[in-house]
Amino acid sequence: MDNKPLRMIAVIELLAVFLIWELLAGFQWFPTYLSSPIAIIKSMGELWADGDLLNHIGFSLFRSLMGFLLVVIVGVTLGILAGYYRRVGTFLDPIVNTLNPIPKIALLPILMVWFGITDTTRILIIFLTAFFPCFVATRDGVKSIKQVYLWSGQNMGASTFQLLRKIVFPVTLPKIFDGLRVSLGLTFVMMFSSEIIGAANGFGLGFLILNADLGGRTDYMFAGVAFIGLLGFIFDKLLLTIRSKVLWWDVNKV
Amino acid sequence: MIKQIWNKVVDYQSIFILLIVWEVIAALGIMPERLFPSMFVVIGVAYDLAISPLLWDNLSVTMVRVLSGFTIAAVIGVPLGIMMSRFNLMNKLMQPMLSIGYPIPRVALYPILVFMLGIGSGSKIFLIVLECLFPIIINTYYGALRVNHIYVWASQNMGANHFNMFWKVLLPATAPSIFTGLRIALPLALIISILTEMISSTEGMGYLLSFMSSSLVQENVLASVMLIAILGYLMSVILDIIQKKFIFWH
Repeated sequence: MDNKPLRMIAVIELLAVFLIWELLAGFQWFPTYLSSPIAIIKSMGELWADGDLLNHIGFSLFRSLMGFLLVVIVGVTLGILAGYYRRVGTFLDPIVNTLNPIPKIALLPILMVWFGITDTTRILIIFLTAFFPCFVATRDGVKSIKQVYLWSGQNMGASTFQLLRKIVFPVTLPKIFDGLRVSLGLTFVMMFSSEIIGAANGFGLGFLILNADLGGRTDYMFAGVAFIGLLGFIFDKLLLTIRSKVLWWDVNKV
Repeated sequence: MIKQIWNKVVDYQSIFILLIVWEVIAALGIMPERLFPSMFVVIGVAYDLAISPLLWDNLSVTMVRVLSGFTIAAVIGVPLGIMMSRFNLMNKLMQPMLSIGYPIPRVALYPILVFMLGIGSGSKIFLIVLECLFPIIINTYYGALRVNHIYVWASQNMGANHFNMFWKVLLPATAPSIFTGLRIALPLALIISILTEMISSTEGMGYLLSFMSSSLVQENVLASVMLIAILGYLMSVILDIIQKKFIFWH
């Protein structure tokens, strides 16, 4: 696919939106709380120079990446086991089917009472939300493996562990990455939500936005939103880069 | 008969095991009872809630937000996805927007939306639309790309205009992929609705939940979580039924 013209169009569209926004704000046709792109970039710079920003970003990233790491380890392992062993699959299916469609954010008040308003609660809620897309994608991926691969592996005398590691895992990898991409997006959503619900102290981009909101500083709010957006964007691109490095034999779709 | 029931129990053994473990922990008093009430107590409270107007008032508010946001997203998203697959210009204009917007956590815009649209339903519905739009458009787009060209050529040959092409050919042929998108979007709509109601609201299921949790009576919180869980489960079941009705051939 030729990505270059699309990238050009993306830049032009973004610039056009910012220009219109800036002009509307400049002529005071927008209410002042909508700020303007230049003011937002200025306050992003102020926050950066302030020094606290790195702490905010660091704590937020720590929470979301810990949650994501747990999802990768637990979700992929359980998914492969549930797809490969029918008994594990039938055992886990009812739990997953009932828990999957419910909004996990509703568990936040319960976890808060059990574990306090700590990072444990936040990482757990991130994990619980992001686990299901990864698990379901991995399980379905394993289930759709061609039986021939498994048979030929067994025929050549592979042990179960070798089968899982050398055949099941690589064949499922594209599906796993599809699931992980959805999980990663949810990770950042839950990072923001778990920080904005609950007391606003400590560090984290959610707190930054909440405090700016309470203080009526909409330009700081926009700046915080821009930082969260940037993080989400960067990590998504990172995941896609890893995918194209690991899955060099499956580049036909991204 | 008994065998059938037993088979059902075996099928759902994991849920029963979970419940039994929960009950044992609650009965042995490993965790303080205030933090870890027995499931029977929770079910009792949930029943009390379910027959009180408190639940139905909040439930109707949430459902209006979820359904209107979801419907608007579907009505915008499906035609847009199909148009992107048919018209190159549309694709070139929309594709960059999608690839920029998709990985950005759009919930973070909520505080700003509150400034713009107020704290009522407007900001919540807008956020739901924003969040549901992406999975619907992307799934519709890839589904419509995979529609066999022969169908399109055949219908063009028989003189179908754009309108007929959309309703008679592309929409039915894309329907399975559209439902995949809707399946992802519907739980998202509920999540966003509850989340935004928890952040700031005076009505809705999310408000009920945070209202209950501020009283620190854990069985009330668990009961409202249980009701929300049932709501989410029912919504996915209903979508299943609709999907079976509409794409019976799949």
